[in-house]
Amino acid sequence: MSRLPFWPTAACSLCALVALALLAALNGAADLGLHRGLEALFFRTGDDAGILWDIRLPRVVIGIIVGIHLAVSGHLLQAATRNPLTDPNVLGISGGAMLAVMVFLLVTVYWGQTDGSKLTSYPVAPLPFVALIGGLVAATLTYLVAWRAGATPLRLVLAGISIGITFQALGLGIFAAWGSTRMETVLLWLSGSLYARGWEHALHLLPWTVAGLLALPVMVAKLDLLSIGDDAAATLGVNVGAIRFAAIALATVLASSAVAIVGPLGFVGLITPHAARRLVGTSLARSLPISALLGALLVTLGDLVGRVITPPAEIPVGAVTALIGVPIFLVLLGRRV
Amino acid sequence: MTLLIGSTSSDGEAAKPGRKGCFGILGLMALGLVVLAGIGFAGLFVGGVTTPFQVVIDALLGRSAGPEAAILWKLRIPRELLAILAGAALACSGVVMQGVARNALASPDLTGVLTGASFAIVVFYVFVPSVPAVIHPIIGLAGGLLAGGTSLLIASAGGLSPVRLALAGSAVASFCAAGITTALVHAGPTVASAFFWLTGGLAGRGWQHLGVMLPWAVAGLGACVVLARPLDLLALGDEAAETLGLNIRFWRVAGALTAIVLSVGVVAVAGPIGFLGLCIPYIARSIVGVRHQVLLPVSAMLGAIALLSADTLARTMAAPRELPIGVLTAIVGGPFLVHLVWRKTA
Repeated sequence: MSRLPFWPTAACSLCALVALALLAALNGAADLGLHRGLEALFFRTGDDAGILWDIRLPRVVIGIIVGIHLAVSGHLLQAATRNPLTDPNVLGISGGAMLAVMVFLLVTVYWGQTDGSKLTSYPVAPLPFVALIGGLVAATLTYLVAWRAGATPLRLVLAGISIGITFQALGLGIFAAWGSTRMETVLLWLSGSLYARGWEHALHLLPWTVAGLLALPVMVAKLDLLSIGDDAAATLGVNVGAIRFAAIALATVLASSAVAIVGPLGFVGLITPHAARRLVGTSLARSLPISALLGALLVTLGDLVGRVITPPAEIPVGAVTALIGVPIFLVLLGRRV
Repeated sequence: MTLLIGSTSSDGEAAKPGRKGCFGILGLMALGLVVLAGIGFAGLFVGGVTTPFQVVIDALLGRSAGPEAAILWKLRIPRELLAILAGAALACSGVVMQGVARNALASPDLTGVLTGASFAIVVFYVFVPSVPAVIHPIIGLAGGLLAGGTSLLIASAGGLSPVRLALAGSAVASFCAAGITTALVHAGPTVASAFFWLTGGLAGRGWQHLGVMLPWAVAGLGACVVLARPLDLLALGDEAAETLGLNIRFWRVAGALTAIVLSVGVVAVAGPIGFLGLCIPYIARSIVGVRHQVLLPVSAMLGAIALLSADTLARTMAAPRELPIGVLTAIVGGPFLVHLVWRKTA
């Protein structure tokens, strides 16, 4: 298959992302229109400025960041486990992060005397840390269960799925025991949604993005070598165990912090790496940035579709990405005999 | 992958009458029935209010007609019967599905059948609320067939390995879960009751729910009687089974259909109850071996005991509140599944 050149592909994806982000900012339950929208965007005048700057823009920005997190996380996991059917969901990381956040929210609402009826009244700052603990516990468990003189990719997938569904069932049960008044707010978080996310959420997510992306260049070259097989990579002087561990840890950090802010978003991390590899080839240095851009595109698109399809009701972006992603995943699975 | 069941090591066992003798099996069943009756009887006394011994006996014998009798006859007894029937149905559904797929991870929950059936029912519940509850299992059957069929077909394209089945099943389940979310967004005020049902449990279920589930459970359990022998033959492998004159394709489809029929009746009434269909067959197989004539009744009994205990705990542990039964099955079943993966995959 002929590969596309890197820079033009990246430039095109970036342009598409900017265009889509603009579209997402202008469209929604209240249609702004290009002229009024641009006026609000640049001069911050009129009634629309509030909608644009306080509601639309933060969620578009968060969508982009989360898309990058999940795509990079999925790509790292697929490279580290040498299994193209892996992502943070499959390895149980999202389930662990979700359960931790559920428990944390429950505890703060019942013991912290917070008014739990609005999503904005929940504490935001500790969420990424809490989710990270859950994600790390889940990833560690997956790794331990899969470990038998080395963790083979197949065992990792089976262990991850079992741990993921267990945590998910526990989280769902806790949610059910929660009581019905707060159900709808938490349901929106549970299904992966950008509803009512503000700049505060973006601010608490950004440090994780920066730290995670800065750590990437250090490991990309070595991680790339894993693709030729463990033994061959070891002969080339790569500490296979260490680099695999580091990649999974970084992927866990990125995925957990994303889950903390928007809830579990399925299949973004699973399908975007495939698309990126098909476009520009399997080298991580080339495909990882494209993956990140495509992830941002997919989440932005999913959020936009979920908002405009049946306004004013919103379909959570997690549902949209799953509805798009599952058929693609099943095709991939069916093809790999 | 030793997760595949019906491998050569079990061929010999399939010909013998199980690991224990005939009397051992009868004794085991008798013991199980005593345990089941004991838990059921004990469960009559506890709940939101604790009923004294004499009152329960009076109410059971029809000698009193007070509120205690109403609690007993309208709430606790139908609910216990439901738990017994649902537990047996889910366990047998798991046994049959594992037998058909020859795969220890095949179960109504891991193949997406429960989520698929839930999805179909939720769509009707939200958008066509006038549909009576009796119709729900039929709708669920369509959803379960579609979901289970999709995951089994896609997984079997590569020889139905446990990993492929788990991946395909969890993907199909995610799709259906996303569909459920989308439907719930439009549910408005019914979202609470829909969600209550979706978490799985028997709270507030009574005789009319038993009526909804009964035909499906009876049909499915009846089919199991017929299926026992073909499932034994299927376990020998395709070629051996064909040599022995088995119409493989027919019995595979019949088995899958039976498994789905068994679980949709439960889903329609009690919501998706996870892990039971996965764990119970495995436990039963480790006790009595792989012969389905023995495995099916023992699984049914174990499933009934498991769900009855779980439901009794769910309504008593935090009384008067109900614990979601999904948490209890996940607490026990989750580590079990992990253990299964840990022990059984090479």
